[in-house]
Amino acid sequence: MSERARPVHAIDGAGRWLSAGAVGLCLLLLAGLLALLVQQASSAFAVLPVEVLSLRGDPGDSLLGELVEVAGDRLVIRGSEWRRQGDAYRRIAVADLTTRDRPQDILLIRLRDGRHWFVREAVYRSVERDEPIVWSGMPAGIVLHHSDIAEVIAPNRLDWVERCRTLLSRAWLFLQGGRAQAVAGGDGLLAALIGSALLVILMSILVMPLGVLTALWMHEYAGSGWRARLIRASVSNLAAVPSVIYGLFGLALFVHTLGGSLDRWFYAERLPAPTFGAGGLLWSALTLALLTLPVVIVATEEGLSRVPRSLRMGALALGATRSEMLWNVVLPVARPALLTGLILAVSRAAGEVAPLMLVGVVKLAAALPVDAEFPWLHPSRAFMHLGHVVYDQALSGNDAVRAGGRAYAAALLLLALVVILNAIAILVRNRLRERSRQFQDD
Amino acid sequence: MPADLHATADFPLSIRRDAILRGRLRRERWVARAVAAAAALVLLAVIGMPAFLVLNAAGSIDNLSTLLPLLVGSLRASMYALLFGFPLAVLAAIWCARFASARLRALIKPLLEVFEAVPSVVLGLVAALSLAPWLAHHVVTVLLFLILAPLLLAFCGAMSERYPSVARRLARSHWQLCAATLALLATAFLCNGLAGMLGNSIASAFWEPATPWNALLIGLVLGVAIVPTVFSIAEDALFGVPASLADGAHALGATRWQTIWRLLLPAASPGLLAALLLGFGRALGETMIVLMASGNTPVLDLGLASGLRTIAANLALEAPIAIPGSAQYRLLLLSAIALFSLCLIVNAMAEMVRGWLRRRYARL
Repeated sequence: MSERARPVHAIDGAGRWLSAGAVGLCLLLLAGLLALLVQQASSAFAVLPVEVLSLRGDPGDSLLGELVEVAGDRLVIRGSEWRRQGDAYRRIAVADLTTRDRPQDILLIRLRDGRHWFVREAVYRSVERDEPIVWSGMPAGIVLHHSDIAEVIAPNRLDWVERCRTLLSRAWLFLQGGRAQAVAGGDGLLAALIGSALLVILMSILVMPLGVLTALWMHEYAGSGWRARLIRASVSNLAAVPSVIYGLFGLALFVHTLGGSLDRWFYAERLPAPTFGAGGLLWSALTLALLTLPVVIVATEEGLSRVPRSLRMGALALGATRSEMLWNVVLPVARPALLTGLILAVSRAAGEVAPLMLVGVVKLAAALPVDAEFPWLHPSRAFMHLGHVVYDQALSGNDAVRAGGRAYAAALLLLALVVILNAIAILVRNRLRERSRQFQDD
Repeated sequence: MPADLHATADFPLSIRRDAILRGRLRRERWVARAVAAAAALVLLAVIGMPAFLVLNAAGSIDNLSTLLPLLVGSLRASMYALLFGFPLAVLAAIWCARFASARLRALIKPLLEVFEAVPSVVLGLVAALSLAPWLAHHVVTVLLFLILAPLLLAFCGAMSERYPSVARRLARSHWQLCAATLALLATAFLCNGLAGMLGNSIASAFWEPATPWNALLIGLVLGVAIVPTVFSIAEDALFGVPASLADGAHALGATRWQTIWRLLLPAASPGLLAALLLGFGRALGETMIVLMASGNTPVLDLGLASGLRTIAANLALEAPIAIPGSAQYRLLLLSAIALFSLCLIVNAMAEMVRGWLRRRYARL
């Protein structure tokens, strides 16, 4: 290597390392995001050590509570939440402590609404058989019923296997809890999961026929004339519109205009209170259907263009009309592409929050959109949504320490759902490509 | 005529066949109509959406000047996002398209595609709850990293070429990726250490963010959010440059980086421009990240240290409570129209540029 050639090679090496570093940074960020979500979500359900503290200059009883956080020279302690979640936090300077102990015999009683109470094991065992349970040291007017207890554990005695089991059982409770959410404000994702699922199903029913028919028109009927180019440009522009604009459009057209008219015509007797004139499941599903339309159209069109020409020609030669050829030959072959479009649309819709905030998602729904009452599905009702739970818990949860963890747990679930859906879509698409390549080889 | 003609032998065959054919043709016409109606509906939605917004926004609008901070906020957030995200995504695309082995490329590309599907509310959550408090104490670390990481990586690359044994081993793309990632991690620790030593005194002397939810945070997170979009378009453009061009350059003695810098990047420049524009459009319309982590303060300030409020976030905040027909509602619709047209223009430009690219390759 001559001396003159060296700078060139140095630049070559620098460029390669720089670009490799960019990929490395992207992968690191991805891994970091996942690790952060898992860590924060599991910290929401982790078993914390319980401490007994006594303070200088405080002659009363010693303080009993879980150690939530150590921030510099201060401890954040959560005592027994006698009345509501989040009412027993205390920030204590380490310098003020006279004794600090982690005794083995403290019990944590977790109530069904998520409150934590702490009690000495001896005290609890002595009164356990009574109904309702009352022990000395409880504030006046507070009682415990056996039916309220979700779990009783001794946090300081648990080994790591039991800790993991408790963590998983709490996570499971969080996932399937929330039946009482509408009433008591307990924690749980059930209502949000049901709301998201209904929304996505309703949206799929609305978007699939429209999207597939439009793709059929573009690909099979319009050819490459100016009309097809116009629609193609429209679809591409539709995909570029920010999602919140769809939300605003849904609010202005569906909620205010259509919903307002429906109310005046059919629900006049309830009128100051809106029926369809406020955000609800139906309007959200329509908005999302509009939002995901380009996804379905693009995926379907790709699938249609991969159906070999020989198949179409064969069908036509055997005497099929165009619609028969499409229905019996082309669409069955392109079915994986339709499935890909559906999955991508569902994953897009599941992760979208901004437009829903305008057309019907709420922090706390008074009732689920499905129940045992007559039409069973109530499309005019507001609903809860997993993505919105993330937003809401992150910024306006009523117990900041727990809400952050809950937001992360909901985010992890949402991310898992979306990533799994996308991975399936990518697999299906790859298989479709393989198959269309086989067709061409024949 | 009896409905079930197949079963009745009373009619001659030709009449039966005619009747069936008539039914089939009728069905054919209906299908054609349904398909055209669906297409018309889509067209109606595209034309109807802006038209409806404009119709609703019609009327006198007084305090138009309140939109200015929002517009500036939107542009500022997108600019910072592009400043961070675009170089990162293009460099990653270059490596993926030209340096990575086929197997590695087949692994990384879908991974980043899945990254694109990460809901923005999740990124917003991370930005608002974890990154913002951390960043408030580690501004110097991050700024040092942003400056030092490229310099150190380039230095490592230049050094590695001096030692042929190292260079030969690093010619395998997965080792190269590992080495660069390790170098990045080392840089991160170095920056953290450096910032710990001189951080507090220097940072407070020069620059103190007014709020933990500032434009720097938005730029970083929004930049990460647009990386997959930019990456996938840029990678397609770079990978699509005909191999014969690169082969010719190599045959004439150009190094790989010379080929990329002098040949591939200019050849793929329309694609890169399209990636830039689409990334810009994506950043403009992004709502949840900005809503959760920008502090939503409508200030007219271009610095990194202050908060911001974008049109999209403003819509999400105010539209649910605005009274239909009120002045505030009309103002919101107007801001939405502005955002809508901005995104449409950006998208149309990107499409044009892409079409240009396609024609150019057709010639090559």
